[in-house]
Amino acid sequence: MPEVAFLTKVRRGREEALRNHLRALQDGAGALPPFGELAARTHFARFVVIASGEPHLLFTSRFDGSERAYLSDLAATDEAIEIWEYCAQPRPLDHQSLRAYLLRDRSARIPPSYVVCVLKDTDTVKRINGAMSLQRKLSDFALEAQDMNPIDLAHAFRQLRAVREIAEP
Amino acid sequence: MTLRTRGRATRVIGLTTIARMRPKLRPKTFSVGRWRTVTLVSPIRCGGRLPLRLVFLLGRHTDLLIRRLVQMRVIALARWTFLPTREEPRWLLFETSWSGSNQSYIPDLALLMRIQAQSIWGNVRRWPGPVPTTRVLTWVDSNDWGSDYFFTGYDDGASTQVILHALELQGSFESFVESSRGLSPDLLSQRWSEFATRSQDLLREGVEEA
Repeated sequence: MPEVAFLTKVRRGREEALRNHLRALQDGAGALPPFGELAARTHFARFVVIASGEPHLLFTSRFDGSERAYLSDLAATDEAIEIWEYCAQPRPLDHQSLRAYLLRDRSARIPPSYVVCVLKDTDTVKRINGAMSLQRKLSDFALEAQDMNPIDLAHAFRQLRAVREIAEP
Repeated sequence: MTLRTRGRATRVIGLTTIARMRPKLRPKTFSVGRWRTVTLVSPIRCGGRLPLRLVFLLGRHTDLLIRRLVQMRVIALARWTFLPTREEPRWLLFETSWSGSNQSYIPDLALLMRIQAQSIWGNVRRWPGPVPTTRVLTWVDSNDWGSDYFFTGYDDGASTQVILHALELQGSFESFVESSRGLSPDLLSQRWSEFATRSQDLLREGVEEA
């Protein structure tokens, strides 16, 4: 499960504006959820402004799929451009330069020294959400099945989508 | 200020003033849904980098030290990073995402993993020690930058425990379906009943989440 961490200097005097911008994203000020499809393959991601005198933007993310594809897709979003607009790098800023910065500028990266994660690499966001959905459906079925005779139960069980997907992949 | 990290890259960074920049504008123990985040930036005490490197090296090679932490099923992710500066003090960045109450998680963590906590945080300045835990909470509050924007692809209602239980249920259910192929209705009904009884804690959680 890849993860990335970037530390980028914020332009002088723009710290508070960046913080307000990020918090507006958090509060759902936009018409659509930020980062769209990118968010759907993100386990956890955070943007934090971690200083005030010499402020830096910290961006960290743990996600599914290839790092190259994820960072390319991130750079292609308008939200990312709006965020890095407050930062000193990259300049000039556009989707292409941001992609190059995220993919190739190793000085922006801060590799972790130690990571603890309770999930396995195979536990993708899709798999996790699928497991939670299955848990809800099986819970409902368990309640319904209490009043069923064996024939009805066997029929209803084999009609469950999850059962069909496993039995007939 | 131009700095070099591990001789690999040159960068401009100015973290020298972090100590006097209290994160007073950030929400304490930032939360979204059930998820909470902490982002701690702590000055490493003189001579603290080497012991930290050894602890992290050990941690990368064995899960013995974190077994109890994993068993708590509260923390989902924790990450320690040395910030790239050659000035003193050096800085340790700690990020964590977890679900639950910080009023219980952080004290539990400090109590259950007293030696582990001390072996890491004992190397940063102003660490109050794992006990009393009220001091740890105060220390976290005063050093936490939280998150200005946090997002996750997990569905609503997700928490570390819900996720781990759902994955556990999924695995056992897949085995159950495989083993129930071709069973008569009577036998399937009996096996389902046994499965539901065996998995009732995991299934009950699904009802509570719905």
